Amino acid sequence: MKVPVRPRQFGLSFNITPLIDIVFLLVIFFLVASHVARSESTEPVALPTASQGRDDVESLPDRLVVTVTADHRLHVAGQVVTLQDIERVLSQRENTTRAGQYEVRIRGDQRVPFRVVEPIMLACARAGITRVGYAVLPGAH
Amino acid sequence: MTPMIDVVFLLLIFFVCASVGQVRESLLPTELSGGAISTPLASEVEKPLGEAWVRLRRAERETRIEIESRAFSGPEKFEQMAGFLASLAAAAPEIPVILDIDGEVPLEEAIRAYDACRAARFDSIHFAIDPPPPAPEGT
Repeated sequence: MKVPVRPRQFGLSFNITPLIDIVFLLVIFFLVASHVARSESTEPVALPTASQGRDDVESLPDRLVVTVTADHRLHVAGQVVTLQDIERVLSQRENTTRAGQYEVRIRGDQRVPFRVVEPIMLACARAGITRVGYAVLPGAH
Repeated sequence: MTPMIDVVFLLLIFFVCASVGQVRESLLPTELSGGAISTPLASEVEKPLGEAWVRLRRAERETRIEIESRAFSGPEKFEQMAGFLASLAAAAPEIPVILDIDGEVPLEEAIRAYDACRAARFDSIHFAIDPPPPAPEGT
């Protein structure tokens, strides 16, 4: 006896809309996080201008960004720090990071006297960090 | 399809808003010498030839540039210095250039002098750093 089989009207469906939503949210999150991690430019400073500045592409991922504001304060990751704090961080890095694999970037306000920036360079040299760069705005004078 | 288009438009709006007002920064690199950084200061008589000292002196809110026996001042000093450095580098780019910058010189002018040295294509550019003051006794 033949049993009539009624074909299914609706096949197995898989709703991928929530999956796409979540994937896009993840993409947004990682893009924003990487953008913030790259810039670290929370403190507004009037950067000096230089014609020989180069793009950020060769920058090392392991780096310390020191912002020197016009009131001569030092900022690291949004916190006001002292020179001793920076020296401590650099000496800790000296033990954990290979030589030449660490970079210090100085974002100094153009009005800041050089005596404020000079000790940072000295601390870097003492810690064996050779890659020190100044954040500048591209352009000729 | 509609939710995907919504999300894509949200992404587009986000990046358009994030890019507005974003200032593109560049990096002016330096290569410091790590480790033993201090070298004895040579006297004027013993100073070896073939070493260009670029001194930035600050007096009365005015920066004066001295390169060996030449001095530059006034509003065109950096252009004059750049021209002199370019001629010097064209003759002997292997000459080490040492930047000796007064503490009161604004960072803008210090960077400008360093930028001029890099633009002249010298092989090595150094910073002369004043020794830190001795620590007070009892510390």
